Amino acid sequence: MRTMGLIFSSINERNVPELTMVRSMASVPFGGRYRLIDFALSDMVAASASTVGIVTKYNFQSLMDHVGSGKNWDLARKSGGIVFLPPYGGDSRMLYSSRFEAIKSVLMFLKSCTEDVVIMSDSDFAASFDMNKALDYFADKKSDITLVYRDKMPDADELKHRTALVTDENGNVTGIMPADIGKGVNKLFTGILIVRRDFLIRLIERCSAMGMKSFSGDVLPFAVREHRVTGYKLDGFFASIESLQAYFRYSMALLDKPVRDSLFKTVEVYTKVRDSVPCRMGADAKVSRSLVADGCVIEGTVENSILFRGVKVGKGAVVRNSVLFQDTDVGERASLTYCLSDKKVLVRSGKSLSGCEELPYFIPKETVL
Amino acid sequence: MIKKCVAMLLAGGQGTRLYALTTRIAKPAVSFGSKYRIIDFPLSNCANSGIDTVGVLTQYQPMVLTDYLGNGEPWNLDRSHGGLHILPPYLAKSGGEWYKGTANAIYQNAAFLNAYEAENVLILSGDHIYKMDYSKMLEYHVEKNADCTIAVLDVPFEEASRFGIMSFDEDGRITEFAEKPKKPKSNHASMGIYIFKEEVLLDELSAEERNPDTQFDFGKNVIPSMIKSGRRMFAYGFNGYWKDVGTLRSLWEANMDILSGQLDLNDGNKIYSRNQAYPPSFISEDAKVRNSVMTTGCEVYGEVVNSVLGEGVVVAAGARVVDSVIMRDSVIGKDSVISYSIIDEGVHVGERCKIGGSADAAVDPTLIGRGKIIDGDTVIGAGKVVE
Repeated sequence: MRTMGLIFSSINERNVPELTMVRSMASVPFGGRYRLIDFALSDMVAASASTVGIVTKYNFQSLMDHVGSGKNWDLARKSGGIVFLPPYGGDSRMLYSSRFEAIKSVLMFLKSCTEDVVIMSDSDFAASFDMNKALDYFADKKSDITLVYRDKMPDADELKHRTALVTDENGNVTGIMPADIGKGVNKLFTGILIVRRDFLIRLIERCSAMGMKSFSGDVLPFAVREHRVTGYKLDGFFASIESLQAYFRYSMALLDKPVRDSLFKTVEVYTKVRDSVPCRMGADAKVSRSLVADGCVIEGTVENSILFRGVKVGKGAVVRNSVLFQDTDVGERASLTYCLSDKKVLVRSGKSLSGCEELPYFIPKETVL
Repeated sequence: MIKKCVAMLLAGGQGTRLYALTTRIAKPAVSFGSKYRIIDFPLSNCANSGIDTVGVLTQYQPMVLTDYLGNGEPWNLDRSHGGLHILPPYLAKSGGEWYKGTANAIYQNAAFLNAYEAENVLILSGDHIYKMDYSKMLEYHVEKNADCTIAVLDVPFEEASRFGIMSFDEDGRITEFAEKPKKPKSNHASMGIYIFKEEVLLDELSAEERNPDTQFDFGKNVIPSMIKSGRRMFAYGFNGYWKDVGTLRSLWEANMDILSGQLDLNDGNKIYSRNQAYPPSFISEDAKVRNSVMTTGCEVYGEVVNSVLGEGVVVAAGARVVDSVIMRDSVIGKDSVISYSIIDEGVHVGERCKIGGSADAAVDPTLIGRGKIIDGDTVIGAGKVVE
């Protein structure tokens, strides 16, 4: 059973407008040195996907820069490998506005592939899991589609954005609905599904002819009624980026070892190599309970924080409970508490900024304070 | 396919003075500076100098080295025209033999140089830590119309007898050369970096093959005989950081030079390396890290002072690492103390061990060899080597 991947890089961007203003969802930084797409991509590589299509919409420069030829994921291949799928101008000259339209726009690509099975995924999460188990489940159950779900009572954000599933005792999906309609349903669809490629092409063509508009609202419920759709439960850490608060909360969760092990030790997570120098802690540095990436230079105090590559913390500066993206520069005696700084922010000496646990203070990209 | 300059990197040496570090790997593959291996420095210098064709001559324990080099992609050397080539000794119709010395190794690969119609050949070795723009040296070499240009560094007089020492006139033309002289006449030391005109190099190397008393060595044989025969030999001055890391002490010192800032890795020209997929390093609540460098995948629960940690190193709670170099994937057990030591890759040190002495002592750092498992409560003194 040969597998391929299809990643939607800009689904749910409206959930975190702060971070997706300058980039697509897939290239939102996470975990000190990664972009969200690294997790979906690495999961697919671990499942031996030989082709991965990346569906893009707009603002995908940073994503293309990050993924490049795909060589960091061993996906720079003579045939297959990484294939970027930017919007394709049809009669309407309109960008697609739903996932179903996005899938329709890549039908040609799907038809040109030779793999048997497609793993479809969004890129609005950080999670590692053994996709091979899900593929075995898909095959054993003789499924037409396997939907991957989490066993979790939805929180307020998830009620707004997520789709819920009802399954019978054999693992068959018997119902699918928006989470806020399926009150009390604790199976949340992750956006990851496994489907036979030829089946997917026929399903899309048929549903398109029937005038359907929405993938999760029309196509999946239709498939649940007419075909064999099974549910596969995903265990372990799953950071679902529903809002800036959720982003911050899940980032901070990485400071717990079981969470790190789940995210980083289930499969190898690959990312773009930046060839930064090793990180350096000075004679007066005080670092505790923090994740520190390569290229950082720390002379001050860092507590409960995540520092991405190339962050500088000057003498006497204090960084607490914060997430600082690549190349943030914190000047001497400056102080950041509950802050989330985007790339290349410069905090001048002596400045003090603070948010709170529920609502971190967000500093946009390249801000000079 | 004409190349203006092809580099030949001598990476076949054992490096006996690194003891257990080179029991199972060649010296150029020895870890350095947290995330690098020694060979990253000459290879990155090539990449940063616009040299896109590099032959790496391997012989001693090549597996880890060839695996690390792969297709040369980390150093931008995965090319269809040129790129990185691994050149091991080979058998030919008329027989074959091991590389008998640095000069013979190049001689045996004359076909490689001819294939690229190299105008000039840059000879490098895999045991020095430095950053250098070879393109400037090449410009100088061409400008002087030199047969051979040697990179030169002024060293302290008391150390001069460890190097090839030369004298040159105002124009830079070399007048005398002595390999490791007992009484050095100057402190201008050869850095072991040469640029030759290709046809001159091949002439000299075939002459050397006919010499019955030769050791097939550039410093001992080829360079002195070229000066004797009146070839145009020029010295190219270099004054940046450069260190021969051929001994345990000098390897340790070069690592410490990163901490003191003498070796600045962050000065714009990147050193490239091939690295594993590790998450960022985690420093725990009770950890203390002072004046140290580390790369990805480390987990520090204890204390780390004046030390260099490689990828994926774990320092358990209560452990103390001082003035030491811990190479990738090694684990330092609870309450153990490591001082003035080099811990090779994949070593497991048990709990409550005491390893090493004082950095001020006149002995080499303590060395624990690759993959060793040290039982709990073991004491290993200053200057010891565990293999």
